[in-house]
Amino acid sequence: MANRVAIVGVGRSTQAARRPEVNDAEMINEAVRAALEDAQIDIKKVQAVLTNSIDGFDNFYLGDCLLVDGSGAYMKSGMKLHTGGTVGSTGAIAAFNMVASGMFDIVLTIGHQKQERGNSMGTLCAAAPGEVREYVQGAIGAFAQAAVEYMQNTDAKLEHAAMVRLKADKNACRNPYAHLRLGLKSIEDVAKSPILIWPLRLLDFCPQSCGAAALIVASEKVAKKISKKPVWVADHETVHELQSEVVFGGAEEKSQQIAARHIYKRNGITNPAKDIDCFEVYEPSSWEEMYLYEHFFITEHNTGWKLIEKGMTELEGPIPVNPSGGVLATNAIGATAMLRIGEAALQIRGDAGEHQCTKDIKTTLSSGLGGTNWTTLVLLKRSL
Amino acid sequence: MAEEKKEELIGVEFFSKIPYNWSMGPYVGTVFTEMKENKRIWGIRCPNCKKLLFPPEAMCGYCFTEFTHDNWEEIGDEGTVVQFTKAGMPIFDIRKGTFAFSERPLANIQFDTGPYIMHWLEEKDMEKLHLGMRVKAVWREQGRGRGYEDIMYFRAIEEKK
Repeated sequence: MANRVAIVGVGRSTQAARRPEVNDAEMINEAVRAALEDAQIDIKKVQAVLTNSIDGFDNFYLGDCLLVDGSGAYMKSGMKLHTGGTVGSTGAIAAFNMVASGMFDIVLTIGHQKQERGNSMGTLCAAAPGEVREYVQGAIGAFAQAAVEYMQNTDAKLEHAAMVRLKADKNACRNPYAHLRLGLKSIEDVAKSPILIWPLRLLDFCPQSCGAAALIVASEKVAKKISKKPVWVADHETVHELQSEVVFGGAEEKSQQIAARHIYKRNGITNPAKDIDCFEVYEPSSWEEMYLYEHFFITEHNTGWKLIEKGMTELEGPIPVNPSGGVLATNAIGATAMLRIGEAALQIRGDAGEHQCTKDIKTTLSSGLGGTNWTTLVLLKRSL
Repeated sequence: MAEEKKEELIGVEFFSKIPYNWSMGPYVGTVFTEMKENKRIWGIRCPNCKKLLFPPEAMCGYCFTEFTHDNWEEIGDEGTVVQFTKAGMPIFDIRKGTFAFSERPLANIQFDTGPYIMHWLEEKDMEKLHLGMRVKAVWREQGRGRGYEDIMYFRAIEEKK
């Protein structure tokens, strides 16, 4: 990047299935105030504000107009971005770029979604009526099909998906900002949940949440002045695919592998399982997390299920993945990919609280995922 | 002693209909007409990168080449199941705007010529389905000119030797 960029503030709102006690502007304001407090700056210091969500998923539109009071954007620069599931990370990446360009010293970026309204499955099906997507059955159908493929091509069983779900819940129970904190005790607890779309059980898929996330992004000069623990943005990557391809699954190398190869090559990462201390990945289903272990080259093709079986990716394990509880526990879609980055930054700072990883976290990789399988990756470091 | 002021939480419900009229463009339009009238599936072969695109648009997504109507190529209606699933919950039907149960499994099918289609399978028994099974489109007697709707589902056919 042209100039060095750091994350100096992370904010999260309360995340829940329903938030009738606040409207959208009030909900994002929770995250904005938390981020400002975390960065120990006043909103007056912020030069530009980005608001990011998926129009339509929560029947909310024109966020750039309607959220100005809650976002603090009044009389400031900024814009609204909308890229699908990746939008939270795209909003963060845009803020990184704005600061890296040298035009801004402090940028606030916000991801949000209030999913108690609307019909995100309907919105997805309506994304291109008459084209391939109308039979997709929303995101659940696509990930269910990928799960069937995984089960047939590997020795992974339903139990392995349940192990991923158990890990997510165990971690979420330690994260006060997680939406679902169920206290699941065993694989049987997961197995009891009803089938949505075979083989995905209700608990194997991410929930619909209401919530917001915010990041304060600063230039090197400002970050060093205002922050004791700036988290440096080492690199980021975005890769898009075509609508007409089969996007989720393991048959071919797709945007996830290509994005990972790009970012690893540029940063001298030859063994991701060792060179990266912690991953915060966008896993819409418990099966997809096992795919992601492979697609980000943490383990070899068709062996992702072995990582969860051996407990390697637990919060206390050698390769922690989603110590926050991940997307399976919390999914206010516009905030989801930004939370992956914010949670990773907190791990590097050692400020994640009860869900802080056991080992020292110096380097993290955060991923974003969206239809049609766009992949975003953000590599964070304690020092550059 | 003054009574504590209670918060009033009001949610205003309203329902909005969103009518769509989706322009399919000349290339998908040709595909839909061909499906309706001749029960055939056409794609576009990129003259530059040689990839077969379906559904086709006026340009190649891979190499950005602009197409002409000279680039049509038949895709065929036989293929292989690469992914499948079955919903245990009501699924949103975009055409009707309602949720409904579907008794048929859904599959990702790769045509023998390469492109993919997402469609229903005739066989309802999940035990009888497997990745790699061979299928062929079963066409509606009277096409509707609405593309994928002109195929009812894909039927299992004899495996390739």
